[in-house]
Amino acid sequence: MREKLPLPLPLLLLTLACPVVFAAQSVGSPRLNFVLHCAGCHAMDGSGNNAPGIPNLRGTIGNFLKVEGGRDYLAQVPGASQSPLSDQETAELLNWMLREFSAKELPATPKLYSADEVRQLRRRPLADVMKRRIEVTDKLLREVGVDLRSYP
Amino acid sequence: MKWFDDFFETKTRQVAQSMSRRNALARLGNLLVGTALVLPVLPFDRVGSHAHAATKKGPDDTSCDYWRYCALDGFVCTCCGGTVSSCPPGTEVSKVTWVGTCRNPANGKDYLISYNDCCGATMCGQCFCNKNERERPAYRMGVHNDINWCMSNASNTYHCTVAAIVGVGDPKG
Repeated sequence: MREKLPLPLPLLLLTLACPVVFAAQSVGSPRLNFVLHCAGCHAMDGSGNNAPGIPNLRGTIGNFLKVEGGRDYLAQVPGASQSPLSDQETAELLNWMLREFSAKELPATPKLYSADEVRQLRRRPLADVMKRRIEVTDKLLREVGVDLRSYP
Repeated sequence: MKWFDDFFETKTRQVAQSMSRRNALARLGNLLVGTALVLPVLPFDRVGSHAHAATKKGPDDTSCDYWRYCALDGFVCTCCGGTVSSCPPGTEVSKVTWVGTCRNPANGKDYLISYNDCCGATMCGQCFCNKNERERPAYRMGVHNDINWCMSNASNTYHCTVAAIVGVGDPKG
């Protein structure tokens, strides 16, 4: 029997903000891709899990589109940018999550992610995810008055 | 009810006076046998045998070959006091998990299976399975089944693993 590896949680969370990745063929609807690639940690309803530091997507992620850098951040977190999904599938998944979990917080005329945009952002991975999160959430508080600084 | 008694008494007496006992027995016998041949209508349940013939029963959920366990690495909770989708009493379901797909041979559909670990008690030690369909190596941690998914719980102690259906792999679902 193989021993189960006691992987350190922070390592997993930092590299897998969304535990992405099912390398099997990933055809299907955004909802299916969410269950397969994200729900393991973010939970089926997107509520995340406070104790182990898994961000809640509900009522939060739409705000990120309101400040510069926030939009890029959502597509650059490891779970999104390093997923085995295609650029098109990732764009569709991001758009679906925004509407599904945070429709109220979206700007009045939200711009949808495109496959091209995801492709560009994937070429610019974040060196320090937590540092960027802090920058974006600080800006959200200053400019929009929404406080998402606590992690998760 | 008196008329009822009177009626049958009268008729019975008439029959007794007009018919021999042997004749009566022969007629009664004809009635019974004839009814059995013409109307074989004793009720019996054919539904069970039809249902049994229509479905091929696969391995049960304590066997490593049970279809939902196609990527399960660990002790199967059905052998540890739990069910295929719930943890045994005294353990807690893992807060994080991974989701894979398994095909149900009964209908040919792919299902999304959440392989939650059950945490908070020492290793169950029963029914160890190690199936790895579509599971990926450790550099894809989110779909690697050697991970102890109890890592986010108050107790990281691994007990067993469940295989809960969380969706159907309909491409357009």
